[in-house]
Amino acid sequence: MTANETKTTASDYELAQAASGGDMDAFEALYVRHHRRVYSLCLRMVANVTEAEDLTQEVFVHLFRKLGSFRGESAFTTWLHRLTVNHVLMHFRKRGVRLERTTEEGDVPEQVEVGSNRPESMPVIDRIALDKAIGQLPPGYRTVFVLHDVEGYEHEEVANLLGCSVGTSKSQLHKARMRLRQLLNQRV
Amino acid sequence: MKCAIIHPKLSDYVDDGLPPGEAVEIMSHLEACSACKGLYVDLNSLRQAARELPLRSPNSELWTRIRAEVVSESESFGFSPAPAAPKNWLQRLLDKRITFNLPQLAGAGALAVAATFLGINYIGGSSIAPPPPTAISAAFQLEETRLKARVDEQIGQINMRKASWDPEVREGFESQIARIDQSLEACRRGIINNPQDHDHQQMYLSLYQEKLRLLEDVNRLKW
Repeated sequence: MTANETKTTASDYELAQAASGGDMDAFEALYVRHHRRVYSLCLRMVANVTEAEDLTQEVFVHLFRKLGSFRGESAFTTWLHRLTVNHVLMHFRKRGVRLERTTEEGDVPEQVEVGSNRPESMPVIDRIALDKAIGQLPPGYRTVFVLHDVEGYEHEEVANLLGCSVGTSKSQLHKARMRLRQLLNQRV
Repeated sequence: MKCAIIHPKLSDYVDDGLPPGEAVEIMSHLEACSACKGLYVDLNSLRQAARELPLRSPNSELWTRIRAEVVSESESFGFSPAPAAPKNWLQRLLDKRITFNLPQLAGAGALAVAATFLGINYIGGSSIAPPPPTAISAAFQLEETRLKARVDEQIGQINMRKASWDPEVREGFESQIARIDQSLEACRRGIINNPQDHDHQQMYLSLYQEKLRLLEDVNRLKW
């Protein structure tokens, strides 16, 4: 299978099987298809370009080792996504990042700021500004927000991944949204 | 319901995560309270925008780094990816067959025909007997002995597990080995016919190496 053929015709499962046999063209095709999603997830979770690139590299090297164990029972994207999330969370644990709490000082009191009197105050959110604001969130807020709101995980899944309760996940998400709203309003 | 009670529940409301009764209460409050309504609109906008964030691209050099690390790791530690599922392992065996059918096997087949035509009829049992030592280089004999020892070692390990294999897989494996042995035998006859023929010696050793690689693959898969 040539690189061009694999890039255009093969399924993820076929590419994974070929790559598990040492076919680097197939592995490159998998990288081309999925690296932006993996990198984006890493970047939004760690909020650091260099760290995100290092993590993406580690994820794909790890992926290469694990390809043979992919049985095709779930979608490859789901499998890779879970692998990436677990890798980033492991990275947090190694660095001693506490996800249960929201900042180094501990839980941040919820903003008591009342909603704007203008319902149209944030009608269109600048995607770039939102990306930057996510990067300014404390790790705990950021992780829950990225997993739930950006990546679409349910609270039960988030709680399972982070080893916390569903209530904590919901609470963290609400605080993350409130903080983001504050950060975005400050830019206006 | 007061605003202070509403606020912590607004995220759940945005996500449709509240019981119907509470949701109705919040909806009523939002109709009457513009401040809370503003907060609701903002949270909803955030939620929508988060789902539509664009993908980001890493440095274009990243693939080069990943490839280099994978290749380096493979070379340094003899690493290979985790074993594939059994069905695909059989597929890999079939892939191997294609490899063996390339020029080596074509040449071996031609040699077999030639050997038959010349009436050479050497029967040395089911295993592959080494070519006669006379007039064959010491280097060739040394390499052949080394490969044979490694092949025997691999076969010994496989034989201990083979009884538990799926019959279809076992048949596929034995068929592959039989094909290689057949080609080896043809090569061996060619070498007997002309002990100085360097090409036949090379082909013989290459086939032995292919057989060894196949056996090592099977053992690495721990089937």
